[in-house]
Order: sequence, then structure tokens, then C-alpha cells
Amino acid sequence: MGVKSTGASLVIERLHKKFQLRAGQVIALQDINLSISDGEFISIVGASGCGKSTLLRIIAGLENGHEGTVKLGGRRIAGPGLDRGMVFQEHRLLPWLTVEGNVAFGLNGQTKGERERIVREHLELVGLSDFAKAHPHQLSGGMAQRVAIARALVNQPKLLLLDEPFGALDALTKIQMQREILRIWEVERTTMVMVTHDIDEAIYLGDRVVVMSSRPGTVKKVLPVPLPRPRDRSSYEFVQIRKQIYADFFAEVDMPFSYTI
Amino acid sequence: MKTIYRTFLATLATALLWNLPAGFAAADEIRIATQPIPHYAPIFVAKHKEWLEEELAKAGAKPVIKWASFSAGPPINESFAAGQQDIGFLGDTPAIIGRAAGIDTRIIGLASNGPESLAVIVPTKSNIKSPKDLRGKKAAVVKGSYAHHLLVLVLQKEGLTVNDIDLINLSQADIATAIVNGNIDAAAVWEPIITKLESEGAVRVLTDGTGIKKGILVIIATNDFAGKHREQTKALLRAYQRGAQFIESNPKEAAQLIAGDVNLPADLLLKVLAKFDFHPAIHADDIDEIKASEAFMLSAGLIKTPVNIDAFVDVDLARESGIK
Amino acid sequence: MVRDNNPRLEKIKYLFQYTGLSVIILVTWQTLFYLGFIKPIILPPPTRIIATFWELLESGAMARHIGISVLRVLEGFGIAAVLGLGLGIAIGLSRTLDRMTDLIIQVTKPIPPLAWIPLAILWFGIGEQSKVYIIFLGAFFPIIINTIAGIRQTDHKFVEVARVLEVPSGKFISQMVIPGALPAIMTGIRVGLMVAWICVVAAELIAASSGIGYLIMDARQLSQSDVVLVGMITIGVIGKLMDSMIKRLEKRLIGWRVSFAGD
Repeated sequence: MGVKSTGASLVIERLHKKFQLRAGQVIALQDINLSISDGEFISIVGASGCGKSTLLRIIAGLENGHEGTVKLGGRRIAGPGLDRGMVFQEHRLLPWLTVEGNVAFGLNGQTKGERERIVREHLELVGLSDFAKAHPHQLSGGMAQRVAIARALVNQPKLLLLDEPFGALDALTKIQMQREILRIWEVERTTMVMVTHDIDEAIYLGDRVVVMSSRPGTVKKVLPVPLPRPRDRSSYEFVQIRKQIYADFFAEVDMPFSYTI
Repeated sequence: MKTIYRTFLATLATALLWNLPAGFAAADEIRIATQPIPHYAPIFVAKHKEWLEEELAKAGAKPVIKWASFSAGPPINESFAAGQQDIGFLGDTPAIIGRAAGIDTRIIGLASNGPESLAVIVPTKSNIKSPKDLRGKKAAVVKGSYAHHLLVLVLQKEGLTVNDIDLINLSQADIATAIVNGNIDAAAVWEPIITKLESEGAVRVLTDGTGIKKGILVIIATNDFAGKHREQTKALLRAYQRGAQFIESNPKEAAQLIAGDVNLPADLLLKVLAKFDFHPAIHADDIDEIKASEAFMLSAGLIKTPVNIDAFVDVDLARESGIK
Repeated sequence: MVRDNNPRLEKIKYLFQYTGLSVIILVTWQTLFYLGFIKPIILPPPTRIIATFWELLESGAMARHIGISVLRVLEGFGIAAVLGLGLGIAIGLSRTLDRMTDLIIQVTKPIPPLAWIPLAILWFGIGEQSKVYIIFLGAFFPIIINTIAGIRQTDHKFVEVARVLEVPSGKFISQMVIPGALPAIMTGIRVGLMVAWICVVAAELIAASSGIGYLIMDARQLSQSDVVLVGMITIGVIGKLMDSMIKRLEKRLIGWRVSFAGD
């Protein structure tokens, strides 16, 4: 798969990450190689402890001390930055600020008018214009997460990283939010990398699904999802891809080799 | 679990019972409250010479004597109120305050009197030359002590009241620091502070009690004790008198003997002892003086209810004990 | 069972529950006195206490003493708040500063304000300053320690958000660290004010000629237990009022907290 080297393309080469625990060393990530092009939506799926969150945090610049290279638009990633926005599993909204206060929190250096415009636009984008003056404790989980997404997008990041953003939501809200994030992606066309443990979610959303195995965390395979959106979770192709991924996971436990159909 | 719980309860109960307030003396115990000042020299002499035990034995008793030391009269009052003392040595003023507050005591004898033993002092370099210069100044006393009364009388003579000065309540120890540091302008105190500070060159006496207040200190006993152990009480008075006589006849030796009890070096103590009359018998003019104190305190609002001094002073006991 | 059906009854029931114990104590107390079981010097009866309180109130003495004590407490507490908050925030934010000051703070903290009195007299004399100093010491440590703790326990999750959004440090401190630390800071303030008020008696031991602490000490010298009790009760009541006021302030400042706790 050809990779275009543009400002928003992410290239990861030979990434290794070790954690030093009291009991000894743990290899969190081993030899990760990944390329993501501008405007793609990538899902990373894996079981707990496979290092997918660590991988995302390294891309975000929140973890360091790794070997190998991580480059965004040809430049090495040294730490957190405005070019990479992040949405966490918890909304992490500041309870003492209003919704618009929270969204504005990431904006610095603009005039007041500018700031208000940007905040208004992004609240519209996530469909929460009516709740601008509300406080986080007055919102439902899904709404709060939408505010977090708006906050992450105000600085027009090249990359939006999502760390199991819908993990804490109930099944129905989750599906709603998946549609939401797709809609936002289609409008903004920001490159998105989402980590999830929900296989269905991964397939529903991603252009490609990166399947990771655990202990040590490696990229098992990268499956393209050449299905047009919106995707039907019960369509034949969807189900086939799901079967492939399932097989990988349960092959890990029962059989040492993987099968591909 | 149950055993632990039971042990805990038992320990708690023991601790509580152990610490019940001791409001009563054991049958053969005398609890004496003193102050470590030369005003009560005879009792310390008697203590060293064991005359208390001697006189008590003559009266057919052999109680254990428990000594407690206090810094001034008011704390002694507290201790009596809590039922922790039988005999006490304090000034006439705090004795009256205690009685007015309902402490059940009587005066059984005079500890001493000495108009020169209490005084109003000022820093040596002070420009207060006479009591009328005290107007508007900061003066410290132990509130409720007989020196407090002295200050009021001194002011009265100049037509002033305590409202004309800034009256501060301090302990004698703090008064010593404060006057040396210049934090207060004057103080009304009693020995040995006067001689101590004078000998250091820190203060001079503005006026002492001569002609103003006799400086009567009394010996009190709880009515309970005097009632139950009348003979023992008389024996104590006799022992006190022996101490007084010893000081009169052998002042140098006495000073050496009790210098440690009153925190004054023997040579200074010798000078101070000369200021006192230690005879414990109560005379008519003494009673008048005490009545004057009571009247002052009532008018000054230091006591709220009057005290009948004639009922407060037990002259019979003193007479019966044969003291002079 | 007649439970929530009758709100009037509920209210009466609550009234009994709130005041019942106090009423029983007062009645027992007075009765024991009438029966001669308690000597008035040890524990004056409630009637005497009320009478003495009324006397003091009428003569204006009570108002004067309360006013002076409150003023002293506010002075000492004010200085403690400014220093405690300022230093606390600085130390909370700087690891280096924390390491430098930790030993001194931990060693000085356990010393009770009372123990400082002799030094206070030596340094500041017997005027207002020594009293305000003692009160300041009492309030300072709760405030600074809680402030440092509040700053320290800034949620890491929020800190990551600030990093990812490249929030400048000024905004980070003022919009993230300090609001997050406010619950702990308010606790420090509340405790500090309480301790300051408790210290007023200790402070007024230093040669005061007015104030509630002085009133109590003075009455003690004169064996006036009724005045002592009036003074004590007044201290308690005013302490309670101050605490209620701070609680109201707390609600205003961190109203979001109640709901955050349920997040």
C-alpha cells in the first residue's frame, strides 16, 4: 500500500517500548511498523494488555523512552502538541467550566471574537450548541464525550487520536456515537486513529483495522475494510471480516497458527 | 474477639476508676498547699526541722504530709475548690475571693504580715516619680492577689482608679520579664521578686505597703478538716509558731536552711526576712485589716457576694492552740 | 405507620431530635444543683450562667470583648491565609521548593501555638503583635499543608489534557490546578479559622486586658466559674457561626463539587 508523504501522514518504524516494573522488565511493544496516510480512519483493535493504548500515547507524545521512530509529516514526535488531538476514555472535562469554557480551554492567543466563533462552530459540529452554558455534570456520558471531541478539534490537529472513547458508554449510545464520529470525520477529514477492544466498532469505523496481539504487543495483521459507508453490520462482507479477526483472537488461545480464508 | 473486647472494657473501666477525682484525703493524710516565697518561711523551717511531725505526734496523730507548691493564691483557690487541699497559705485577698466563691474554708492563723514585702515597682530609669504619675500607664498585677489590692489603694490615695491606668493581668514570672524588657511601666508585686530585681538594678520601689496595706497573709483550712481534726490543726499552728520563733532567734541559720525553698540566695533572703512579722496569732487590728480588704473587693467587683469576716476567721482555734 | 404523611409531625420530630439532648442536659444540670449535688464553684447552674451572661451583655462588656477577640482572630487568620495560600501554591507547584521547605514545615508543624508564647512575648512584647502571632501560627499550618496537598493531587488525567492542548503554564495553574485544588484549600481555610479561634484563649493569656480569652483568664483568677462558663459557651457559639459562614462560602466557590463527586 503506497504511502503518500504529506503533512498528516504518520510513519512508525521499528517501535519498541519496554516498561521497568519492580518484578522486572515488560515488553509493551515490539517491532511496530505502521504507516497511516492523510485523511485515513484507522482502527486499532486488540485484547487488554496488548499495548494499543501505549502505542496511541506514544503517538500523542505522552509516553517516551521508546526505541524506533515515530514521524508525523516527516518530523519526529518529541512530545505532546497541537498537531495531535486526543480524546480519552473518560471525557476529562473540567467540572468548574461550562461546556463552552471547556471547548475554549484549548484555545490560546486568539482574540475574544475569534475564540467565540471557533467554539460556536465546533459545538455546532458535535450538535451541542444548545448546551453551551451547561456544566459537565449536567450532561450524559455521550454528550460529555462529544464536548471532549469538540475540544480536541478546536486547534485543527492533523491527527485525532481516540483511546477507547466509547468504552464507558452503554451499547445504544455507543452506536450513536460511532455514527457521530463518522459524520464529524466526513466533515473535517482529520486523520483519525482509534483504539478499541470492540471488533465490530473497529470494522464499522476504520478504513483499515490494525489487529494487535498481546505479550508482547505486535501488529499481527492489518486488514483493509474496502466497504462503502454507512456500513451494514450484518452484511456478508462485514461478517467475513469479523470472522477473520475473531479467528485471530481465538487462534491465539487455542492454536499457535492463524488461518486465513 | 470476645476476649479482646472484654479485656478492652476492663482496661477502660480500670482507667476510669483509677482517675476518679480525689475529692477527699485518705484518713491519715494532710495536704498542704504553699507558695515558694519568703512570706511563708516558718513552714519551710518547720518542714526541714520536722516540727510538724513532732507536734502532730504530741497530739497523738501520725498522718502523712503531702506538700503542693503553687505560684500564687488564685491557683491555690482552684485546688481547694477541687477538694484537693486541706491547709493552705495565701494572701488575704485570694482567701476572701475563695470564700466568696463558695470554697468552704476558714482562716486559722496569720502566716505573716509585712507592709514592706509588697510594693509597686517601676523600672530604675522610669520617669514615674510618684504614684500620680501612674495615670495612663501600663501596670501589671496578678489579678486577685493582695498586691492587686495594694495597687488600687495606692491609686486611691492619689484620687485615681484602675480605670485611669491600663491594668494588665500577668503572672509574677511574666511580670519580671515584662518590666525588664520595658513592656510595662509598673507592677504591683511581692517578695522575692522585689529584692531580686532590685539587686539586679532593674527596678526601684515606687511605694510599698507601709501605711497603706499591712500585707496580711493567712493560713486557711477546710472546714471539713478543721472540724474532723481539730487537734491536728492546732498542732500545725504550733509547729508554724516554732518556725517563726526560730527565724526570730537564728535568722542567719534560717536563711541558710530555706534559701532553696524560696528561690533566693541566703544573703538576700536574710534582708528580706527582716521585713516580716511571722507570729501566727490573729489580733483585732488584723481582723480589721482583713475586713477592709473584703470591703474593697466587694466595691471593686472582685467578689460578688459579701463575706462575713468574723465568721470566716476562727479565733477560737488559734487561741486554743496557744499560739501568740 | 404514620411516616411521611404528616410534614408538620416530621418537623416537630426533627426539632426534638436536634434539641432534645441539650434540653435534657440542661434540665438535669439545674436539678442536680437544686438538690445540692453540685457546688456552684465547681459547676454553676444554667440559671446563674444565663444571669451572668445577661449582666455582661447589658454592661456592653460582652460586645466589647467579643469584638476585640474577633478582630484579633481575623488579623492573625488573614495573615495566615495570605502566607499559607501564597507559599502553599508556590511549594505545591515546585518540587525544588518543596524539598527545600519540607523539613522546616514538618518540624514546626507539631509545635502547639501555646508553646510559642514565651518566645512570642520575648520577640513581640505583650502588645497586640504577640497575640496575633500566636493566632497566625495556629491557622497557618492547616492552610499551607492543605493547599500543598490540593495542588499536588491535581488529577493526572487533567494534566495530560493540558499537555496535549499545549496550555500555557499561567492558564494551566489558574484554570486547572487551582480550581482543582479548591476543595482541599477550602478545607484548610475552614480548619485554619477554627484553630485560629481556638487559639484566641491561648493568645489572650499574653497579658491582654480585653477579649474573650482575657475574660476567662480573669474570671479564673477571681474564682468566678460562672463567667468562665459564659466565656467558654460564647467561644463555642461564635466558632460555630464562623464555621457556618465559611461553609456558605465553600458552597459558592465549589458548587460544582457536589456533582463532581458523583461523576
